[in-house]
Amino acid sequence: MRFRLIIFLIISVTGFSGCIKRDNSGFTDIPIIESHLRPGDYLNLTVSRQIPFSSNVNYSADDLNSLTITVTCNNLDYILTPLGDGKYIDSTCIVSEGERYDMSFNYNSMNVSAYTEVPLRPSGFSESATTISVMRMDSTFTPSVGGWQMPDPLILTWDNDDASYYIVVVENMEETLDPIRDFGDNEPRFGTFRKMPTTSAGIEMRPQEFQYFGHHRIILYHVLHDYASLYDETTTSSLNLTNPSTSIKNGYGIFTGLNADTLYLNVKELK
Amino acid sequence: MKLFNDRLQILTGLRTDYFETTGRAYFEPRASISYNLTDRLVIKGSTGNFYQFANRVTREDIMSGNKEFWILSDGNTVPVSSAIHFIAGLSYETSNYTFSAEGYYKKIHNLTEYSLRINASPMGMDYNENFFNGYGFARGIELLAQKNSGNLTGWVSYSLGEAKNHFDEYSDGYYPANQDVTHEFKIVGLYKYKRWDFSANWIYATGRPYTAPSGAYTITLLDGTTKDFFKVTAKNSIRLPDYHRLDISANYLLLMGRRGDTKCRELGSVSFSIFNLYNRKNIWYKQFTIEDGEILENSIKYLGITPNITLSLKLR
Repeated sequence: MRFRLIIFLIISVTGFSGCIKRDNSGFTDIPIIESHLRPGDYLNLTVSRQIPFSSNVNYSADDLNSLTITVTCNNLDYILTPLGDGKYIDSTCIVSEGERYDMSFNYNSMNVSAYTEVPLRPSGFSESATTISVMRMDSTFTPSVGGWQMPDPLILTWDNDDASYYIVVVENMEETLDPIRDFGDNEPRFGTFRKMPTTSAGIEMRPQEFQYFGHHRIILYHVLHDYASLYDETTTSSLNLTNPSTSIKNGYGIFTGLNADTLYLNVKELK
Repeated sequence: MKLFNDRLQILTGLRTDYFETTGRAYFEPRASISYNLTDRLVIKGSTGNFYQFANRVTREDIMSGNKEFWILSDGNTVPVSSAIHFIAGLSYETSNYTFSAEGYYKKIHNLTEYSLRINASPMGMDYNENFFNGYGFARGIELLAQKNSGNLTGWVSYSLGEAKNHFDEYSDGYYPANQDVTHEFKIVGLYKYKRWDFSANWIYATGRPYTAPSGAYTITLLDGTTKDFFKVTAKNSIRLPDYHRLDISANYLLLMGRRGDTKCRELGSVSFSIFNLYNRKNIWYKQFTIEDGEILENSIKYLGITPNITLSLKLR
């Protein structure tokens, strides 16, 4: 009899506890912010939503185009104007280097905030050559009888006493792209490419990195650590889901300042 | 120490360890008490402080399932973990049956977890330190009813428990620990008939928690290319499906000797068993892959139905 009573109690407790509803929802509607503050630009920002993993999710009732977004600089508040598609701008405030910008707005009953500083313009930016000559490598290419000598690398240097982050982006300026090498059946490369972020005071660019002949714009960006972390290759590893290291609270994406200097390079065909 | 005609028994002890890495001694006091209310009914309790120098660290891997590894404490990045236990219960025992109910509470300090999923300070924290420390607790009630004698024996047990951890890097408050199982029910039956031993056991447990990708977003980089990032759910906020399975076995004792002999020698046994008789697809962990901006989920399962035949022989 006692044994049956114990079994009854066990089953009763199990049944009662089993009625407690467990919350298995995993998606929270947290906004995505994308803003790059460059000196000379207006204050600008884009807000969007995540793409959920599950189709059965609850979105916030907030309208992405009707948010009250405030950016504070030098104790002055600027309320951004919506342009549609989640884009916001304030044409009364021009971004300046060295300034701190604080952003906040309310979304899904949470206060979304972020801050950033605009780094100084790169100084001492120089290149070892303004023109490099590269052999065209198509189906007719054969090394010369005396051997084929690789051109010297292009050396870019700049001042970096505080070991902050810099990114070099190279853009081809030609209207029609003239490829250096035959891509064959592969997709043609973009006319723009970049180097990995670095904390050093210079980099070396091998001529093979250039895909096209013509005039190029070499842009040296002075960026913050949060922007440099976007280029962390381990982000897409199956071992981790490291998200950008940002100052954004209750939101994702990037809210950062950056500055730049530009040099020019001509990639000519070596005849 | 025994008091009140040996009804009350108190046992105390002290264990001391010296750990060279940290250069200090660790004291682990413990005590237990029991009181016989009747010759069958006993109430008991115990408490103790425990240290652990070899730590089992969970390496968080949301996409491929968490893995665990053991590492010796260094007193800094991987501190010496400790726990304090409180246990109280009562038991009722007859010649044929045992019934017990026990409650426990454990407070655990210096838990360590390893994760590459962090958000460092935007002003430039070092990414190299990926060991995180936290604390947690576990509490619950365990009930047991057991039949000890006769051809038919076995037991039924039920436990209601909660295990939670707190790591600042994951959340502001407590979240379910990796091993948190709310309900666990077991029933084991054993039947002996001549040379045969039959057994069956059924296990049921509610699902363990896990973390999963919850969404994705894209950021445009300076060179015009885009990069996808993925967000995950709150730590351990989702539960795997409940776990249950039924195992059965039959064991036949091999004896040497004629029928009616009182001095048969045991030769060995032949046993046949089936693990997971109804082939329940219990999930061990989930794997996620990202293809073309879409998150795909794959469930890694435990062993399905597995028959087993064993012959064991005793050599003289």
